[in-house]
Amino acid sequence: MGMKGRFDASMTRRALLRGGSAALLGSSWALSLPRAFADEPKASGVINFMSWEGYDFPTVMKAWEQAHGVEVQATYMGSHDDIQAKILGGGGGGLDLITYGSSYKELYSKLKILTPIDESRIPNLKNLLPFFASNFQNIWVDPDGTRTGVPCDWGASSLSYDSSVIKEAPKSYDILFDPKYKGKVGIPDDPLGAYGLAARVLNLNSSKLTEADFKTVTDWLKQLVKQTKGVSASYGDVSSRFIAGDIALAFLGWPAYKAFGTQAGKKTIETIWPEKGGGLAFSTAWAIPPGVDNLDTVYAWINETLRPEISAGMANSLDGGAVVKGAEKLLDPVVATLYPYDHLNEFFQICPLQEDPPLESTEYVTRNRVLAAWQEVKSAG
Amino acid sequence: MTPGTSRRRDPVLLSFPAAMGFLLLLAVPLAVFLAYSFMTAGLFTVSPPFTFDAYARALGYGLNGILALNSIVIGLLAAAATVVLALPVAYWLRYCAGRWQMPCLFIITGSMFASYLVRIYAWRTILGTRGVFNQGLEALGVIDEPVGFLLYNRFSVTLALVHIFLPYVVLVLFAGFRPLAPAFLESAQDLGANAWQRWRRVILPVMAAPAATSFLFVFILSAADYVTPQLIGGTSGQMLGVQVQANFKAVGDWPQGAAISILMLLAFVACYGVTLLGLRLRRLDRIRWVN
Repeated sequence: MGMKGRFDASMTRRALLRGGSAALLGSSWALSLPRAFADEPKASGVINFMSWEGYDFPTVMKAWEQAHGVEVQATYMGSHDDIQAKILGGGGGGLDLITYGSSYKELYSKLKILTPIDESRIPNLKNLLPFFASNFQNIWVDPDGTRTGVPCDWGASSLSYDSSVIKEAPKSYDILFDPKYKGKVGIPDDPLGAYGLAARVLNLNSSKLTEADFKTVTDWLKQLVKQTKGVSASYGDVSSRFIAGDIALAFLGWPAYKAFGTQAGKKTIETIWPEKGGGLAFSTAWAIPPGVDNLDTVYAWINETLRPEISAGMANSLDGGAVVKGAEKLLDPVVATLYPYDHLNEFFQICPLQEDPPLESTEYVTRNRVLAAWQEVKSAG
Repeated sequence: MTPGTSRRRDPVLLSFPAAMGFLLLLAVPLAVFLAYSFMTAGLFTVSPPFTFDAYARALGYGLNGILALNSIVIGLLAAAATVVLALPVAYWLRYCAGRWQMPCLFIITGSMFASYLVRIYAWRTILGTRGVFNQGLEALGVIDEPVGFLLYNRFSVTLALVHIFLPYVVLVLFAGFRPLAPAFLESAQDLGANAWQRWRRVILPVMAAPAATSFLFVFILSAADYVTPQLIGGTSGQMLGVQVQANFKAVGDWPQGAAISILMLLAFVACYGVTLLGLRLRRLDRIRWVN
């Protein structure tokens, strides 16, 4: 039966209404197409990107980039401070996408490095794990509801040790001061992390350090540095020292050391969160700097990273934590054991997100005081 | 225009592009630094009024003094060791290497293509607890357990800096030896000068200026380094360049970072002046090859 015959045979008032409704819906859908495409983030061209090495995820994002004709031109930073140095010190124009650590939110807001993010352009935001979808400490969303960042990964730092040297898992941070391990302790060049974790170990609030607290923490860190052979240039440098056997313990330990060590044939680097002191969590977020000139593609990129497969691939690639629901089931076995996805809320009680000293305060020690003091801590020996 | 006038103008015209490059890439940034150092610090910003505050803070901060002293000690040690090691190598290349001269020069030049960071990490591999050196000594039965004093201190920083700058200095000193034909040394020998006298009376006066230049080159670059100390300096091997970096990148106190830079520059200019004066007083700056 042809089209005409079927139409003729079934033409009733109800059928006419049903057909008319369908035609109307179809017409509406067809008419709305241009608008829908306009709302969807369009992806093409170059993304000028600056972040840590590996955060451009060349392998994980390859298929998407090829499908959309997107090229990511990445500049890797040696330290987090490279971002503000580049953007504020000149030469930062034209950056489309950056990342910021949770502890840099206040600074970057003050320096106007973060521009508002339109949530309607990132439909996959709904995929975020509840903790990362929250407005926690205004790290990703300002008090007025303006989003400035989209979580991309997370982790926690505490106490790492080499189980081939230290047979029994340490119970507290006190082991760092054991004379037996003098010269065998590592610590990365992360002043805010060091003050944050040291304050937590000493049961102080790193964002509200009084002068007396500040002295207590500084003295504690100086004693700790005396146990080392110097502050390592980076977390990667600590990992290298672990693998080389130069250290057996690390303050600001990192579960990823286990994965790095395993890749290098050293499977004995463990990380624990001692009952006293716990650890400190950190999170990295995508952000859009003021110099962006390929905004549509940046939104499309961020949106893509919030798919479970991609988030898991990113966590696997970084040996970090996934931020998207369902991604934890797709992680590599070693990476899946780094963090307890079944008890994330409890975990963030033991390892709360790092809180930094205020930029300006008459009551508490400021961020710059901490950074300046860190130079003295590094030279304590 | 006479041909003579044209010849007189040529050097000026020829040097114009280089002078402009120098002005844009060195003089202008230095002028900006100088201006920054006298401005008032904000958070990653500078603004009027002009003040000496950054200099007062830079000079009054005890840690800067300690790090400056460290920079001077490490810079002097690295410069002295590099020149002392490079001089005989350059001498051998010029007068003794024969047909091996070009291959050796090629190898020395080629070694400079290795990344700065790779060379620093190589020393960690060599001197580390499980490094080549310790494992070798253990295999030979010289030590029972790895020795840890080789790395993360002034010694390791100095060693790495000597390794980094040695090829450059060998080439500079080799170039310094070039005009000194073997016949000069043979003449000195014929006139009764022994080996030591030939070194002291013929070679060293001729090589004083290139050696002093090389010494300054290594000293300035070593004393201002901030990468090597961070990677293998430990607590005792930190240097003043780290403070400049910290002030610009982390603390955001640009005036103080600029003030420390300017103070370091003044110190280096003073070193240059003293060296030049020393050469002049010893009349070693007037030796010219006229052939």
